[in-house]
Amino acid sequence: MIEVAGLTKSFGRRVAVQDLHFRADPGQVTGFLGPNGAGKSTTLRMVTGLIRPDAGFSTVNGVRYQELAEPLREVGSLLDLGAAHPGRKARDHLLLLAATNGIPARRVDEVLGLTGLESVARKRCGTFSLGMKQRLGLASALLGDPPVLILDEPLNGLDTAGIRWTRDLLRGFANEGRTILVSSHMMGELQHTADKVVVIGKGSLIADTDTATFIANTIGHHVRVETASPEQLAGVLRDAGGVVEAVGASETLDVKGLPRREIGELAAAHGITLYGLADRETSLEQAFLESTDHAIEYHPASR
Amino acid sequence: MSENLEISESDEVAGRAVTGKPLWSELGNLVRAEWIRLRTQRAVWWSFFGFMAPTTVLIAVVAMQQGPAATDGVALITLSLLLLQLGFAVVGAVFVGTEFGHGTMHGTLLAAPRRHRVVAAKCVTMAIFGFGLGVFSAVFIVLVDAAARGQAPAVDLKVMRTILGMGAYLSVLGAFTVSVAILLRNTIGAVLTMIAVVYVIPVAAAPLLGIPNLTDLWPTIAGLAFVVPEVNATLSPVLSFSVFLFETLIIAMAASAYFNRRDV
Repeated sequence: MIEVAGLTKSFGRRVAVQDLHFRADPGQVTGFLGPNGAGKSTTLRMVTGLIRPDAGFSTVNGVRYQELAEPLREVGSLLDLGAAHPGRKARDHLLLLAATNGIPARRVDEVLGLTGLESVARKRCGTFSLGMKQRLGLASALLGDPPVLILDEPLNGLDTAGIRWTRDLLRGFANEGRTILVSSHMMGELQHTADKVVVIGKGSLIADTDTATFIANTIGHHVRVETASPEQLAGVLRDAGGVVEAVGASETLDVKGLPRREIGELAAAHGITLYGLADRETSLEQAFLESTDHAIEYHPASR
Repeated sequence: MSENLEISESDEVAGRAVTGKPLWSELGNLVRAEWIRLRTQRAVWWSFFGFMAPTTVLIAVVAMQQGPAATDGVALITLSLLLLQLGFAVVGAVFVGTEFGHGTMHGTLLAAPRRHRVVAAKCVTMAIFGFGLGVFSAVFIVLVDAAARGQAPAVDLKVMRTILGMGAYLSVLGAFTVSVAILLRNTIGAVLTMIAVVYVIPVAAAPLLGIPNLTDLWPTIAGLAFVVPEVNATLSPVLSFSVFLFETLIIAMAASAYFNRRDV
């Protein structure tokens, strides 16, 4: 279990993380989400002792990271993509990390095989592609076969097979009862992988709940209706308490606040022809964008 | 049975120590890891051999010019040490500086979060490496000297002392350089600083400023007195080397304290 209690950190006058509380439980994949600059990496670095918090504390299985006897056997971390010396061979990179925690060399060969890097084990890290560096980072995280994994953007640079492998790995680990805390901007992947999400914006907590509840609470239930008489139907649905929006200039309406069945019955009662009626599929991405809209630090210029 | 006790038992079964790790056991693991880091870093070896090759050629040329009659192993070892010490300082600066430059210090601290022990392990590793390298280089120079003269190596007590002295000097210089690199967190800065420490300040700046006695206490001058007593007019070789040790210890403690407080 990872517990974060009141973590606060400022860099100069800029508050990066403010009074952050959350928990990642065993047996679950916890998605850690936030826009760029929200304080995700700073938080993960505080949890792993790389950055000292101004206030608050964090523990891994009840122990502060700095007090873990053999950290690699307790926590596997992937915080820095490609943080390997470019002139060092992949196997040597893992060997030296393994040596710090007394992990035998055979485990190095195991994780090289597990991450599909066996054939490049004796190649220098500087020659690796983004995806291979990511796999090497994952291999480092898995060295001690730890019960807790902390991964910052583990899917970046991976090919489709790599993404699927990572997804299965995380789910498999969670099913074994391990604790997984993973930050990612790939919402589509997280939606199907994360049991719960912790969302932060501008350093503060926005949501800490299970993934389905987060989506439902943020976006609500929407129904898409395609009709020959959009204006007439919109009036009927508004009178019934629905929130109706036209989707572009088409004959489609987006209705919130009324169930699909009631919309159908209202249309039939008023003799309005429907071409289509379906619950709108909601996504973690939509929920994330809506919940963090006010907390986006770096807005792209509009064109 | 209490809940706490159950947790402890489960941890023991899983072979996971939750807190605490004996200092010597952890330090042993860290030194082993640092040695792997050192021996698998190409820049370290390029830097060293870049200094070693011209030094060897120079020693051979000097020995051949002096001829068979003028054997002075101590002088040649000293000459090689004066040249090689900079190469070794560059090696130490590159060894630690690149860890900051390439961001691999994060990985190091994730694996070993007790930073004082990390600093100690790096210093110990470079000290052991420095001693081995110093002794090896000195013996190598004696052999080159003998080969260039076409004679058997002349090894007496004075030469033996110089050989071991070169090892001891590079050993402490290694820890000194590691400490400087940790303080500066930058390869170029550490290399330039060590050039200043080894050559510029004691050889050029201090005499120009008219403070010759002060240079006797300068770390590298104090350390060299153990190998070449003539370089230090004020202190005995042992006392002089103790000054070097003490100054290195102060720098190492300052580096460790600073590193322990910094965000990485």
